Amino acid sequence: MKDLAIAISVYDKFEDVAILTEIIRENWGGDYYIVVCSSHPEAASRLSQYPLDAILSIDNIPFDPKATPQQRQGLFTLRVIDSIRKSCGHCCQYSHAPYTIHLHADALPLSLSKLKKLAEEMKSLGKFFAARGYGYVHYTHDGPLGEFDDMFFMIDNLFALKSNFWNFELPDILPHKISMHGFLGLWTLMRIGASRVHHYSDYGEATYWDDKPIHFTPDTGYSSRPMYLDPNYDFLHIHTQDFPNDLGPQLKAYYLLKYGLIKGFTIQKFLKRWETDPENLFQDLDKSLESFYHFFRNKMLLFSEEKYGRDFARIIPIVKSYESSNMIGKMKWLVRMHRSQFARILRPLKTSLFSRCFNNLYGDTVWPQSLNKKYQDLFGPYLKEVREFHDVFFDAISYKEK
Amino acid sequence: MNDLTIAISVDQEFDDVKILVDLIRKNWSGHFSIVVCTALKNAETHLKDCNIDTLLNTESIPQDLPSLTDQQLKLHSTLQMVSNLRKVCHYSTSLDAPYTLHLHAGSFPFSWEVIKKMITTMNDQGKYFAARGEGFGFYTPDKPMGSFDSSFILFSNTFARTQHLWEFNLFDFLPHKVSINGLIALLVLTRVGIRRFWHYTHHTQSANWNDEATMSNSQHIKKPMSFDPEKKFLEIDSRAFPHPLDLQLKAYYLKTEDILQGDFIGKLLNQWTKEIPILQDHLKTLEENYDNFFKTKGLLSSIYGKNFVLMQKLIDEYKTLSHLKKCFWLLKMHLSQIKMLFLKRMERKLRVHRWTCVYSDEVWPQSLKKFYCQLLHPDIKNIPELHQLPFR
Repeated sequence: MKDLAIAISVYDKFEDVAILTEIIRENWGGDYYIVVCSSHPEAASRLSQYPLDAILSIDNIPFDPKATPQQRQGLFTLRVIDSIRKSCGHCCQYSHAPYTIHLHADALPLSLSKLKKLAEEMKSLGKFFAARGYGYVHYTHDGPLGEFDDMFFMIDNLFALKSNFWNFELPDILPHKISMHGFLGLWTLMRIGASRVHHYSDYGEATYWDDKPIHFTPDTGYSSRPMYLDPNYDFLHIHTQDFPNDLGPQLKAYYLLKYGLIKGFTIQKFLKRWETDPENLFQDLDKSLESFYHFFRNKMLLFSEEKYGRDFARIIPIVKSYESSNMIGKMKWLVRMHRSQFARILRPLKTSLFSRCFNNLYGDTVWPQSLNKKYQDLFGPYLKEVREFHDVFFDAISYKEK
Repeated sequence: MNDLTIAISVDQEFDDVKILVDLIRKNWSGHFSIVVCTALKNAETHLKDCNIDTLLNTESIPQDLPSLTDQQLKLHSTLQMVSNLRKVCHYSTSLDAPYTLHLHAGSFPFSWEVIKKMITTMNDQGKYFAARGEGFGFYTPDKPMGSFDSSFILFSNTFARTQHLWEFNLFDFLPHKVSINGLIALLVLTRVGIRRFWHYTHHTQSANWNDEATMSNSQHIKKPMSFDPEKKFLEIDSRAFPHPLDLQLKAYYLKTEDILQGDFIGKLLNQWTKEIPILQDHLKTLEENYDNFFKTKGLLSSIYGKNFVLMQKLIDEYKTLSHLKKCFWLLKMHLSQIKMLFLKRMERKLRVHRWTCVYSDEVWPQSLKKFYCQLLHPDIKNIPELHQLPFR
């Protein structure tokens, strides 16, 4: 009997998988079942050197960089859901562990005792699923019944197996509409039941490196970029590539050291390269952030701090696009940004006005158009390549009756 | 072995149940088991001469208390309807018939042959659940993933049993938000699967007594009666017609479809059958009267979807008002009409969802537990299932 199953979804962050595997295998005591699912063509060969119990690959769901942004978003959702469905489904069937936790490669459970605490809470409360997120109160177009984070959710394997929790087809989630987080809201509500779900943390409880609560913006809600730490359970998500210079890996190294996760060949190599003085690191992070805010303030873009928070992945391309432009380009950039700022000032008025006027029909309704056509338009030629969409009819159909 | 189980959810429309039982027992040839579910405690007295197999009782959730707000009333009514639906359908899956047809009282499937054909089609096409409705592309706050009628749903009992289709807690579909029609769409997606589901028809294919479409695509207003000529499904909301028009309409359709057998049906036909030109003239005159009232005030009666009782209520309300209040009433009605006709169209054309990041019905950042505590009437706390709120 294993202590826990860990299902990891990844595309090409193979070094992150190595670090995660070493945290589990070499820094935790106990016996764990680790499964990695990737859609990368070289995943099997690149991951074969790590002590994994299984390496899975997703179905043939194309991801064409030339596709439209909407198509890419739809295909990306399908790939993530397929990966989670496969990896967690595999764990509930083969791991012989009571629970599975799902992680992305850049999601690190830093403390084994806190992880055990979560499992114990599930057991003592009689819950089959535990997750962090908004829960069932926040309704958006892609999460109309609530949302949970697709990292750090834990599921009872016996329950998942008996209830066929991971058995479904991709069209069943209406992927033109539902996001990964919305999928977890919908599926847990309808297949597990609210009373058996342990909503252990809210997004707003997570913090940044300086213990300040993570940023909320009306545009995007709580962002998991570039990092968050759930202090209740010591769950860290760190998207190292988002940070400027080398601050991302340095911050990751800081957390590994802080939590004493130092054993393992890849971890040692990583720490050797990126270990830095925490005081300097935090100063650099603050300076970096302040320089970006200063850049915006100088241009009278006063709401940028509120709009972007610490999301370097959104800030840096905007700054770069200004810096790499010529004079006319810079002027255009300023006009665009100020127009967007003005729209932002009007937003509360617009939102409250439209919320009052338009509360009967959701704006993303497809009706009375055909949903089949919507799927053809959305996915175009890629739809035919996804096996599970073959011969699926979303609309009313008349069969020739015998 | 029975051919079919008919599961009937009923509020207080016991005469409709009696018509249904006569329709099935005396006019269909085959073996049927009929299960009725209601929250009314003395239902057996109402159904004592009625040849049903089982009468189920659900806990009564208060709906007629004057202190209830509209939002509370909506929640309580959804809980009651879903509680009845869940109990009667779950019970039906344990019976020996291969399929169950669920109906609300007021829904009449005239032809067993049509149902048989539907079952054959479901068997041939590998479908386990069939329903009609707007489908999976229609989204409103109470139908966030689509909408299907909870009447005229047909499902395989073995499938429903093995999938635990009707086993869920009353909070497991967010009843403050999701309606019974929205719930059917959620159940189909998460517990049946699109490939195993048959969306057999749209409302737009049903018609009124004067062959007008029951629901138009431009105005999403469901009319108080519909007849699907292909499936021979009739649905009449008696509360929307002044008495005895509802009975006359039922008698008309029963006679037209040659459903004549049965004591209760016999009595209904004897008492309420009217020649069709007379009935249609009556309905037409009534419609014209209402039209005239609203037209003279610059209002459209079409937005009330031929709900005569609702229109009469509005007229009665208007007549009792002082001159000044009549002016306010008119202003209110005109604004509501503008919203209905103009803004709703603009909503879709402008794709408002791009402008407002979240849906306007979100509860966040309030807690759902607190929200339900405020919304549920204290009497409900006697019902154990609704006592413990499962939310954070």
